[in-house]
Amino acid sequence: MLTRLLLGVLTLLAILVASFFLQRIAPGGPFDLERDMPEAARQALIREWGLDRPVPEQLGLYLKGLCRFPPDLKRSMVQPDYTVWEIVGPRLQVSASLGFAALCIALVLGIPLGVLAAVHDGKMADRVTMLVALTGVAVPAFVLGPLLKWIFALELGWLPESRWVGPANMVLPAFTLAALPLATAARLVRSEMGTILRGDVVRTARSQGLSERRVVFVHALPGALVPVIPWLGPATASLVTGSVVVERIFDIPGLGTTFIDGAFNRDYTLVMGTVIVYSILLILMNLLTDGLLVLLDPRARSARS
Amino acid sequence: MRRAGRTVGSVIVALVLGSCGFTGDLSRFGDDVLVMSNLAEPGSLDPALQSGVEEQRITLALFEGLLSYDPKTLRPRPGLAERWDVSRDGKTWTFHLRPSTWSDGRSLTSADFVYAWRRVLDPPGTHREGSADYAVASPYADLMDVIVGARKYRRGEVDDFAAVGLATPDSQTLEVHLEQATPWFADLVCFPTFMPVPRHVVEYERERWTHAGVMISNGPFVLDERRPGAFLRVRKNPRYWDAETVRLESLVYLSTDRVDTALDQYLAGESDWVRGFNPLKARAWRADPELGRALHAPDYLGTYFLRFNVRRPPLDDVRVRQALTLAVDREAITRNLTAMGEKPATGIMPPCLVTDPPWRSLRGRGLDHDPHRARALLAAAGFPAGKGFPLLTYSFNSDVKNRAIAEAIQAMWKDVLGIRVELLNREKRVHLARERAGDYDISRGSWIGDFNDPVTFLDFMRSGAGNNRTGWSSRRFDELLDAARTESDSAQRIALLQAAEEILMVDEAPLLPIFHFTTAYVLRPGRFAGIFENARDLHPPKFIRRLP
Repeated sequence: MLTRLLLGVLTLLAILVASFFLQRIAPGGPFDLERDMPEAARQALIREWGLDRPVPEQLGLYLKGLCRFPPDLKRSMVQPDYTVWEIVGPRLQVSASLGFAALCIALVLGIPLGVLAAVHDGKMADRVTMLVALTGVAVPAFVLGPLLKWIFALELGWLPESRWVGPANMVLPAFTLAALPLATAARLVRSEMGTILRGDVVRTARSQGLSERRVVFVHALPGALVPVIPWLGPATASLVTGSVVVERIFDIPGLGTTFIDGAFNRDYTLVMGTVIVYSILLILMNLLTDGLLVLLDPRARSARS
Repeated sequence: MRRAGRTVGSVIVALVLGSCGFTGDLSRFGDDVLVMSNLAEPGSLDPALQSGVEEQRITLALFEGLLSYDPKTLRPRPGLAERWDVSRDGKTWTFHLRPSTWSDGRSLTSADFVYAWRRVLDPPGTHREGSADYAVASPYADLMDVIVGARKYRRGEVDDFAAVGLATPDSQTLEVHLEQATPWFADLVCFPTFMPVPRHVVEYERERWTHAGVMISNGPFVLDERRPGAFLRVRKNPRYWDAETVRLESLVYLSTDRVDTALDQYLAGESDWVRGFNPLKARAWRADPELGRALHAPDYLGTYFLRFNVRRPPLDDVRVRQALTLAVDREAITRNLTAMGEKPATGIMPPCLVTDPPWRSLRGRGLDHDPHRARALLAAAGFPAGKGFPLLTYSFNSDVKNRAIAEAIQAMWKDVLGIRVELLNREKRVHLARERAGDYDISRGSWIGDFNDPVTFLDFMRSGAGNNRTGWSSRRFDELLDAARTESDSAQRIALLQAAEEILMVDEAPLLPIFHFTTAYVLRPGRFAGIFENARDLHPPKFIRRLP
């Protein structure tokens, strides 16, 4: 576990260095405006931000700031009223709650759907469920989002159309974001469940005269969930990238929009801050799923030791 | 037992929801609220740091300068200065301040203006005697160049602030000495860069001084709450000197940056005013009586044009530039592509610019659409029917409208002149950086007037000016602008400036004008009064009131 943690820190460092240099390769800078600012002011800003120094030196200074406690993420270059943390913090809260809600929807609906399909293998219920799942995979968020918005907000008026005023605002974006992981979860469970239902464990259980419900939920389901666990890592990644699109569609003040705007504005410090938050999130999620897997599946434990 | 469970349950629900970062209901100030989609996250609220219209809209609520805009005509009217005198030579302006206070009750004096203006002129890192403790790099500092000594001080050529033409004979009087008579100075002092800032807060709180709960201002409204990426809300300032006139209790600026989302918010009744529009939806909106009434598109003080990089052959040949200009059917572009009432352009000066005497447009006497002449000029330059003409690039910043226009012009040049250009689509900051570096052949650009005077549309093309970016220079053009600066007779001055425009847009043609902008916005009909269509899309919130 300690090695994995160390590896995580190294990964983070590699991501930081790569993003720092990649940003500087892109032409244009934070102070290129439609109407030129006076040269004296421009030079003063470049000096103030240390942009006149060699890039490796800038990186060194930046990393040094990060080692402080609390880590110094600097001010935003384009929105100088705020430190990067003052911008990223509240937005992380928003994105995290949206992502968490979507993940809950995906698991709470996706797993039962997968079970349903597996139990009715080849029958109508299976076909309908898998059609729904396939649609979830095939229809991208930028189509599903506006569609849901049009039906439930603009036509029916049941739910708010956009923004992040209260819990009702969460429904449409969370479902839009959940579509893909929901479909994936359902398919994962269905295929694993199908194998298990045909296997020895279930045959033994059935031969003992247990009810079908007991067989499915007590004997088969835990095994069927095993492939879902390692998938949680990539699922989180897809929620993170998906939220970039969904936040735009529903005008949600989350991290995704900050990241995109920051990149377009060449707001170097803001982009770095967002990258750090995203990376830590993904690395932690992967560590967590690894740990969970070891706990649930004895085979993983022996394979690793 | 069950009750305890329910309590625990509701506490958990409250905790979970409380940590979701919801913004909550924005209209907690009753009915007299205006919710506006501002279409972009504002940058800094510090008046010295402003460069975008999104911030200016907010600054007009939070601050007031010496003078302020009339909501209908935008002509300067008394603001913090209850009256002002201009010396006979037009070079000395004396502003007499009315008694007024900051929103924390401190009185506001002429020294506050001197501090604010000095802060604009003093870039960070200079640390000169008496400089502001918290210095910023003001992107519009050059607007102050009309003041005696300001340019030299700003560029660090002079270190003594006493050389700058500002004086405060007493706490209620500000005397400004200008390099030359500057008729548009009254207009300038309405601009955010010239607004006062509260020294006692700025120096103490530094970067945090624009935060809600900290910020002190002097305008009709004060900052109430700000959530980056979501919204900004201001509320009425009871200490504003003319608080009686202010009718709105509060204004909310939503930072919705996708215009389509903003329009949906309007349709869903979540906002009443969208400061932009998607021209692709114009036909559908105009077909609907209710929506059609909400859609406005007044002329705007700005021009869309192309820059020719005259350092690169064959664009160094004026005949080539003129031929490229004459070949473009600008009326077809405004009729079919932009479609929001934009006017096709022959000159740089937008028709909504008000001058005395009125500006004589170049239409009909400039480089209007004329395929025949275009071909003749290109042939004279050595490229009959486009033969031997090198492949040039046409760069624009990524945008649906820019692309459509670029494709149309590419086709026109091919049809009329038989030449090919390659379209280069670039991200905005890349586009600007390349343009500044002179790394382009033909490049899309635009200019928005900083104030209502022809000078703003000509000065930027002076030899070597930062916004020129074409490599073009003309001594005659510069001389005409210089002569106009010292000319006190209005008719003479306008004549000089018109001659300069003719050199720029007819004789030399380093710019190819396409159209003059309009600003489209959507405003819920019959709900507010005090919002008027005008040439700079400025609507001082002080005069807006909600209709019953």
